[in-house]
Amino acid sequence: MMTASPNFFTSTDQTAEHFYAQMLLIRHTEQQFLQLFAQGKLNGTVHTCIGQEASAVAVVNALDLQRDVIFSNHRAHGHFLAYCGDVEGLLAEVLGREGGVCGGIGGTQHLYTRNFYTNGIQGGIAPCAVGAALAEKMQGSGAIATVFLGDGTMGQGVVYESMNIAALWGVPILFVLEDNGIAQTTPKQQEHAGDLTTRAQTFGIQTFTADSFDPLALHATAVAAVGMVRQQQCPAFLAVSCYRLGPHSKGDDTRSAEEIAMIEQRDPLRHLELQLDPQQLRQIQQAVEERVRLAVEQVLERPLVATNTTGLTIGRGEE
Amino acid sequence: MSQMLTNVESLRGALHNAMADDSAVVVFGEDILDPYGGAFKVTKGLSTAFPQRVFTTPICEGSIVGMANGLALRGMRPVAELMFGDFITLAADQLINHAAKFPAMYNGRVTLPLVVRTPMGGGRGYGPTHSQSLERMFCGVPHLSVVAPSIFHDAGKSLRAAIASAQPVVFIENKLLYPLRQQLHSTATLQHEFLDAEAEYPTVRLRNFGAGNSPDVTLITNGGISRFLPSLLQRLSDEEIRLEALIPASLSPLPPIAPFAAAAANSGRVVIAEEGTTSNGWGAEFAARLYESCMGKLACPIVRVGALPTVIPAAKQLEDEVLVSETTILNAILKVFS
Amino acid sequence: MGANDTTAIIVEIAKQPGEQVRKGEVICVAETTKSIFDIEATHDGWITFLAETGGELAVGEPVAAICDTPTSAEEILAFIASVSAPVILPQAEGDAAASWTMKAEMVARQQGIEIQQVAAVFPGKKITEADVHQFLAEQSAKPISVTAAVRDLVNDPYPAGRVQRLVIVGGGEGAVQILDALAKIPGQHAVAIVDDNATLHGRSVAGVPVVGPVDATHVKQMIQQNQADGVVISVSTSIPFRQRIFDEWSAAGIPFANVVHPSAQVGINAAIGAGNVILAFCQIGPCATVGNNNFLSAYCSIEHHSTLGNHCSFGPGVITSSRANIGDRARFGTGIFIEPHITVGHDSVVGSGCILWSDVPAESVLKSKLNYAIRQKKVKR
Ligand SMILES: Cc1ncc(C[n+]2csc(CCOP(=O)(O)OP(=O)(O)O)c2C)c(N)n1
Repeated sequence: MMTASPNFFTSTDQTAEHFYAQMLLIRHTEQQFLQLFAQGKLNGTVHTCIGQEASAVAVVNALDLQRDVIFSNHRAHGHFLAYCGDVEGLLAEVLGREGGVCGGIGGTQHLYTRNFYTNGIQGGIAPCAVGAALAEKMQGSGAIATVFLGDGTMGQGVVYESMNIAALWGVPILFVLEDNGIAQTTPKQQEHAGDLTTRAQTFGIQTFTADSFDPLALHATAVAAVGMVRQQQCPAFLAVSCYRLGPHSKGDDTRSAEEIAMIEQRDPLRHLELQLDPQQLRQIQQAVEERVRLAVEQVLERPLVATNTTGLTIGRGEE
Repeated sequence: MSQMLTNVESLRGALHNAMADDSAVVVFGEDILDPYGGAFKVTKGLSTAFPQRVFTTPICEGSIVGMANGLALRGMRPVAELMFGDFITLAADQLINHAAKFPAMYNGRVTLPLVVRTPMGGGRGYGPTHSQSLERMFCGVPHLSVVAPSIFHDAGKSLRAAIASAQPVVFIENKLLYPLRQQLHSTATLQHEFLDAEAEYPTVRLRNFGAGNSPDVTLITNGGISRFLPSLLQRLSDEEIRLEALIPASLSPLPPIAPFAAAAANSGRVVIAEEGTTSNGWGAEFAARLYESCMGKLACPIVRVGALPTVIPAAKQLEDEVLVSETTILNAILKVFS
Repeated sequence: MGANDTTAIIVEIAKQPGEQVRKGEVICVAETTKSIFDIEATHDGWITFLAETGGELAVGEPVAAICDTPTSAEEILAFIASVSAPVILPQAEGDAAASWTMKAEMVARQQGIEIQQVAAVFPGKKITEADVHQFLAEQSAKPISVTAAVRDLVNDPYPAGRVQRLVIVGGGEGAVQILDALAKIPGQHAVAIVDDNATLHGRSVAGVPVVGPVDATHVKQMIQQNQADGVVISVSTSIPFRQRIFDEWSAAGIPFANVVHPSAQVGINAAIGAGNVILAFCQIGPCATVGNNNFLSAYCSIEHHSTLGNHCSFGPGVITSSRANIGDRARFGTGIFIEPHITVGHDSVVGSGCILWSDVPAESVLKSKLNYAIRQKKVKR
């Protein structure tokens, strides 16, 4: 039986315990953000991925984290933590404290670490990810790129331009659709005609589908998709159906109480909890709670970021 | 002296050399493969010489620049061509919200060596959506450079500088300049020098008078407008009007204003000419900067010249009416002078 | 053709249509604003005219075509349309007398002369900036011997766009009123004040320096050295002073200027002399005549067909009706009404509040009998 070790959250073991630990870490961190916002300690906004942690953990763990490139969007905390586990770097970034991954310039929607990039413009990252994957292919690194897109973002034309080029040129990229059925407040049915899962097929892109309710099954599908992309040097499309448990950002949930109650039944954390030994479960929960609590405490003690941050001065010319 | 290269030859040579010198340079755009070699032939011969690194793309300007962004983030040096400058609006999101943002918002931890080349300008009868000069829309975007060589610049050298730069660069070519020979040296009647020869994108100073005289009028202009200057300077010289033309290649950020302010204060009369419309434009910004540093030293208000605020018509005589001509610039010069 | 010409008129056609011509023969004569010139055949051949006598042609429009065989005008026009290479109207030779560089023209304009004046002195030459400077140097060396009327036209000392620079005599409250008016007049501004009060010297009034005493030699020198263009007297309280300065300085050749506040209205055909100060909201009615060196405070009206002499001083609100006739050196207080056709003799003094309905002999003093009583207001507390 596993115990909570220091590398507990970033271990490469693809087991229920680890997935659960990582998902819980994401859940707790996101809840902390909402709480910090409520306390007035967070400037701006956050889009938490509460309810969608399984997608982040299952897909990211299917990648080769040493070399693969990830592009994500406004709802990226889960992807970020699954990628690097840097709770302090994320907290500091969002709270404008020293040691944030982007010096406090980027904030929640604009994160960067190693091969992980996010941006807050819906759809714009799709061609960037294709370009990144093309660069890896041309350089022969063996890496692939992954891009996370929401169902609402499937309304953007640039996404389809990217699929077209990726298929046409054999670019090793995995398009991941995180289909939570809603975009901000607009249900999918009100935004899209037809079926999102068949769209990539039109470009001859192999499409995989999975449900985030079962993280291990989702992971297996993701592994298959990633393997295909890497081996065949071509794009693939992975449609993950999931549920957003929390609000879009903060206090902006327009869905009915019944709908939310229904969604709570689909919480992937519950699903894993049932599979785990209660004692082990408690151990993980304690470890995660401790980890996040200490991180928050520690980051809040750090000074606010200095105003003369390097990023703001690059190539600015004379003013 | 050997025959000067035409603008298109200079650019083409620079692309060849850049690709030969650095295997990270990749070129892509619509219809750029041989034998066609691009709508304006700047990429002619490239796909034959470097078949692995020259891509013809679907018609998708947003993704062309988006892909270039991804390539640039991952260690390549992409040079994307947009067939007509007018189409840059489709790539505006990638330029403004991606290329210009990544290095700064990731706190300087990534570089973005991107060049987006595109031809702007009218005078060819292509009509409203294939004739504009939209570069001003990208001027003033922080962390994005807008570069436009004139015929008095070594366009190829400017392009090499753009490719070598760690910053995203929108590189404006002018359709009417392509076939013209570059003029990089002084002639008997025209003094050619650089204000700041060591700058990445230097500013040319042209004068139709010799040392020891001071100018009557200072003309600040860029890019395609430079095609009028050889004739205009000659005409003014016949009329004894001493003109100093300052032609920066860097439209944004603006080059340091001090030498321009000194020149403006020296002549006391300034005309700013640009190919696009003037409202909220490059010339407006330049004029504001000049006023900030030489208010009170000018003999008369700065006059701006640009296209009429309307669409650019296709019919020749209508197009002529809307676009800047040698005569409009001449009239502006006479206006500040009298 | 001349530099300003864009068209020419065909005044004579020297050949028959269809006639055979030789290169160099005169085919027609054209006229521009500056001269008449011959147009010669450019080739041997048969001529077809495309213009007629009296016709006006733009530069570049064909006058005629000369063909190797006789050809009709229609065929030629069709051919021209097909190749669009018109026969160019030749530039007149020997018309260089009417040409100059733009720089020369602008320098001339800035100096208040017409370029044609310079061109007349250098016939047959393209006038350059240097020629204009030479012309100006020679002009200023020559004594001006023309009559005033001609001088105004030919050698206008105040060309459009040039600001008249004034010296103000007296640095007191009158000067402040004048400076206030000048601040609103784009074409005039004060460069100096002269005042005999030595404590004012080296100081300034509203930014205008008080440069020294009231000294004709000094002011004359300023004008000769082109530092000032004219003078105006701000002193309204001493009529003898006004008159003495005006008469002596005019005799010494110092020009006097009028300062008319832009809110004042001057009617048609009104005549105003020199050295007058006309302040805000005054009216000089149509056909009224104002002499020299008068000082009109705000809200004065010299109504239509009235005549005002010289060296008078008006307080605010002096209103004449039509055809009043006011002699020299009259002085008026505040708030005075003058009925139509009334004459006020010279050197009279009219006190505030008078209403004149009969003529006033010269050297009279008028004091208003209008009276009022002041009593304490009863205030309820
Ligand atoms: C180009 C652009 N348009 C609009 C927005 C505002 N916006 C941010 S998130 C969002 C909804 C996105 O929905 P979806 O793609 O389904 O992702 P989800 O929020 O459900 O994860 C919108 C409209 C944006 N960030 N970018």
